[in-house]
Amino acid sequence: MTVQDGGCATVLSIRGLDAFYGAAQALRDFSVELRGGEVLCLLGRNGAGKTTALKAIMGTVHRPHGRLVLDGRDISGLAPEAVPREGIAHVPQGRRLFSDLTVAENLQIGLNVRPVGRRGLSTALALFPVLAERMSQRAGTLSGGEQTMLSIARAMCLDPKVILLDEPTEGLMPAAIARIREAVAQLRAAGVAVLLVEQRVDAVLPVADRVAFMENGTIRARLDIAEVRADPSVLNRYVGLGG
Amino acid sequence: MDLAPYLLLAGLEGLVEASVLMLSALGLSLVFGVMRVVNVAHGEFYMLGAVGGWAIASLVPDHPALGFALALLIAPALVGALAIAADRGILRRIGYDPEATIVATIGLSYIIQQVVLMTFGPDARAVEPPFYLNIRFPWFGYSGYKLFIVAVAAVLVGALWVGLRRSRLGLMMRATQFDRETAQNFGIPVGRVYSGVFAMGAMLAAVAGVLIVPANQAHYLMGHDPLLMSFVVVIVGGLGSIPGTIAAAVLIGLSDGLMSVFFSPTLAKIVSTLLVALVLVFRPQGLFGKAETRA
Ligand SMILES: Nc1ncnc2c1ncn2[C@@H]1O[C@H](COP(=O)(O)OP(=O)(O)OP(=O)(O)O)[C@@H](O)[C@H]1O
Ligand SMILES: [Mg+2]
Repeated sequence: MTVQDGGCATVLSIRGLDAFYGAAQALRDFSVELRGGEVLCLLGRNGAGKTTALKAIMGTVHRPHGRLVLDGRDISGLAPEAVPREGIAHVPQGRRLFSDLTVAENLQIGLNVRPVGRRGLSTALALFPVLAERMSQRAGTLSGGEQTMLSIARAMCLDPKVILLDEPTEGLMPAAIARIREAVAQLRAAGVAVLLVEQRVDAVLPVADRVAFMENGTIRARLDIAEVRADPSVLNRYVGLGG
Repeated sequence: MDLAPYLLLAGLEGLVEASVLMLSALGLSLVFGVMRVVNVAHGEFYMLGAVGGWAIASLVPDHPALGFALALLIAPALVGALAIAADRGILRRIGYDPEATIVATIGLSYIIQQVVLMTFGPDARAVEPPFYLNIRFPWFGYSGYKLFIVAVAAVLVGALWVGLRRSRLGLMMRATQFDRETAQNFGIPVGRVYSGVFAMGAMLAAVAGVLIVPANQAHYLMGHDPLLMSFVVVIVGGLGSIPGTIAAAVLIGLSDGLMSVFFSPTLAKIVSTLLVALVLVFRPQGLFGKAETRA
């Protein structure tokens, strides 16, 4: 385990990941280090390859090259269904709940992934108490904000070492966004390595430790958050005004 | 003429037919629901259940009950193993592409038929019922074995229903059915779920085949009708919907029984086929299915 400057250990090291949809390459030489208790924000315009990067980590897109090392163990060759069992949880873009299934069943699917007990579930329910009142309701009938909460709660049920969140605030009202941010902060405080994909810079500034910009399937720039906070205009080089 | 005895007889015959149909149609529906492919060789799994059941039962000719019990356990297991081999060897290799799967399973069904023809010959084979019990009604006696078919089918379908709703495997199957990629993101081995579902579908057909041999006979071409009728049931009931499949099997089995007794089996098939055409035109999601909700 390597200890980095922030005092956080690298949990997941990703090196030179390429990913393809058929013959089309959508991810090129993607490399990041995710550290425990740290939030890395991945920014970029539509089609930059952010979602593809997360899918490549999960192994659900063809990724012939690259190395994934989790806690010192090479997991690059694992089957897609084995990746989450190592403790990498995914909150996919658009939530991707099992909408025909109940809230309880969606959470159970998260609990079934690893033999970690129900600690992650209790943390999630403490964060999102509304879910506890909706247990037997079909997930598809929840409100948009509740669905996002369920998607995050389902991932928290893995008691993950790493969590990948793909635009969790997309389409939410400010109050709901605040709840999601709170969840991210809590995961960070619990020592989880967080990779947060967003399009809007203002949505991530308060919770990010580091920022990386993607363009054309690869990382174009990495910025220290202190630098960005001191002078947000550095962002304008990479994204349009206001994201 | 007193109608009551005829109605009762037709109802009983219809119920027996509905039970067998329900098992075989549920197999087809399960495979379509989870894997989104149509298995044209489904009728051959039914036939293999029947022929395999005969082959196994004839190993213990002196104990019909024992022979039948062995057939009911072993034949579906063998058919399930064959289905897993077909899934790994064929369907997985063609990526479960819907059109390619139809063509591949048509081929598979001819291969199975011809192998059975070459191995067991063209004769119809009879299996002795495990027990003889004549249930006396005021007007006629009825085979207790046929009512046993109904009971076994009801128990199996009940178990399948509870298993899908309550067990961990059932949850995995429903999650895979809904969203394969997300299921994988949550550690569900969708490849193995597919193999398992294909095997379960085949075994349901095979059980139906074993159950029917003591009442009918085993023959290498016997898979054709159940395939057709299973399609009818699955389309009328709504593809992939288990309650719909059960309801449609009972509806079609009973109407088939009634029409076969009062008119002719051919008319019964014509009416079923017409029903499918009407359903496809006016209610393509099936009488009991809900409209496609996924965007
Ligand atoms: N299933 C797919 N098949 C083929 N190409 C795809 C597929 N999914 C994504 N792509 C392509 O890969 C590129 C990257 O897409 P990706 O979804 O990763 O972008 P993104 O950064 O997540 O965008 P957004 O902000 O809109 O979610 C795009 O050019 C897209 O068209
Ligand atoms: Mg995306």
